[in-house]
Amino acid sequence: MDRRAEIAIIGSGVTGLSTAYSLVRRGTRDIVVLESGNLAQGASTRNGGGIRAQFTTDENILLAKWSIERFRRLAGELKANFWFRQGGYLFLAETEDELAQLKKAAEFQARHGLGTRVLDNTAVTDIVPCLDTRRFIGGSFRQGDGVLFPFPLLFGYAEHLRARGVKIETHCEVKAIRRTGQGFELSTSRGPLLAAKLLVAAGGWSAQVSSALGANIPSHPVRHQIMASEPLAPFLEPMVVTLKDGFYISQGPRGELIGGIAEPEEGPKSYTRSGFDFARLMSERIVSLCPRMSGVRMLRQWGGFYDVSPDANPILDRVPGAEGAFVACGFSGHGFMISPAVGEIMACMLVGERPPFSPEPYRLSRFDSGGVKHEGLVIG
Amino acid sequence: MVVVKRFVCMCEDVTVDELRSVIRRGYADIEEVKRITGIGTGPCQGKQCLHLLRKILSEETGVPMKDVPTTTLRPPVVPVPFGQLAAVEDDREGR
Ligand SMILES: Cc1cc2nc3c(=O)[nH]c(=O)nc-3n(C[C@H](O)[C@H](O)[C@H](O)COP(=O)(O)OP(=O)(O)OC[C@H]3O[C@@H](n4cnc5c(N)ncnc54)[C@H](O)[C@@H]3O)c2cc1C
Repeated sequence: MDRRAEIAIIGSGVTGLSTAYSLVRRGTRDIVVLESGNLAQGASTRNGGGIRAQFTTDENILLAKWSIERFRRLAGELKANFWFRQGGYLFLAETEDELAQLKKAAEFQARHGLGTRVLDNTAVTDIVPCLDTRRFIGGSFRQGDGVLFPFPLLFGYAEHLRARGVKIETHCEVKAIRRTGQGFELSTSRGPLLAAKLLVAAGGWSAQVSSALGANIPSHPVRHQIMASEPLAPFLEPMVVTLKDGFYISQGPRGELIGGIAEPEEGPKSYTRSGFDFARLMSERIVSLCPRMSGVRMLRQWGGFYDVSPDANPILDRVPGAEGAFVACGFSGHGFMISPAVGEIMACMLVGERPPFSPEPYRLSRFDSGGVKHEGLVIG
Repeated sequence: MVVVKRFVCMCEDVTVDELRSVIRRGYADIEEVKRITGIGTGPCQGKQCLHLLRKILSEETGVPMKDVPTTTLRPPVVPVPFGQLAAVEDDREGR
């Protein structure tokens, strides 16, 4: 057997690749990334590209703030233009309760210096004039949030890593994992591989992959759909989100509207299947919020997984009972925006360094103690 | 100087040369080529360009044309206005 690596990463999504990037920055290059399909075929190339620090827990705000700073530098470091545009995130409230929730969040975020502003309808339509003011009573806005285009970031990571000796093997599914004296033996669809250390970064498949190590990871995949319209001249600077129904919409770099909406959770389903219910729900919402959009045409819709954890916050930890194996999953629909910080934390765990953030809040043990604080601003 | 650009995808402005260079950089999978270049994701949704893309992929990789897959087709198959989708009646019970 000749395939070996110091570190094997299962999953070529943004979590796996940003961890590899942080490892390479630390001088570790003996890394193999294993991907069952084509490069980053999971949630990472199916998402809305929304990047925000407007959260309701210290933990998420810290990770997001750090990540936004990294995103600002990353285009230059990777030589990849992924169109990071800090046009802000605009949350809309329809009821007094929702507005109170946004006010509370803004006050909390002020402690982190985020500068979130609470707005009345006039101020909202100063930012996005086409919105129908009968549909909301106010909102909150933070300029430093924004959107990016995921594909060039992922392909940029991949090329940067490959140029530095990292192997990224696509169409190479990990089917079984065996612990050996020195680490792990992975059975893959392209033959066995030995690795001293292991990271499970398999998105919605993470619990399943971890079960091969005998571990029980409490996250599960939930299908979420998303759509794109035909391209339009630029008119929408921020990402617009409604609190009531998890609706979000932004304008991408090609001028297309990109957005989704929460749907009733329906149990396991093949994630590639798109449904007409979503197209109607989404269209109704777009037309009600912005009647002028009714003539704009939807071009395509698709689906992907949120990997949902019990408190909607990430699970970043050792795999219990498997020394040398780690897991990063449970991102619950906001794993892209915090991926630079997550990569940094996981790289530190893998090489035994102290991470820049305390990993305590992300450990599995939080679910035993029962003291979990659910993230209040989950979208979609 | 004569500049020659041969377009494969008119919606997303993708040229023959661009496709060949992406494939030669190692992205031989049709879904990867789609995600990198945007080919087939514009208003025509690949109806004009997908076959040309498959032909170029076949030439570059040596895989016979019949074995080069298409990309996943996404609904709606033709662009449909939001107003029209929103106006479809929901006739199922309990809603
Ligand atoms: C519709 C939608 C909209 C979203 N919008 C946003 C947003 O606006 N902002 C944001 O921050 N986040 C958003 N998210 C969430 C975000 O996309 C995810 O949190 C993030 O991409 C997770 O990345 P990942 O690398 O952990 O997982 P993934 O990208 O899913 O990668 C996991 C990879 O592991 C591979 N894999 C699985 N099993 C195996 C195996 N056995 N062997 C080898 N490989 C395997 C899979 O093929 C996959 O490529 C959205 C998600 C969806 C679905």
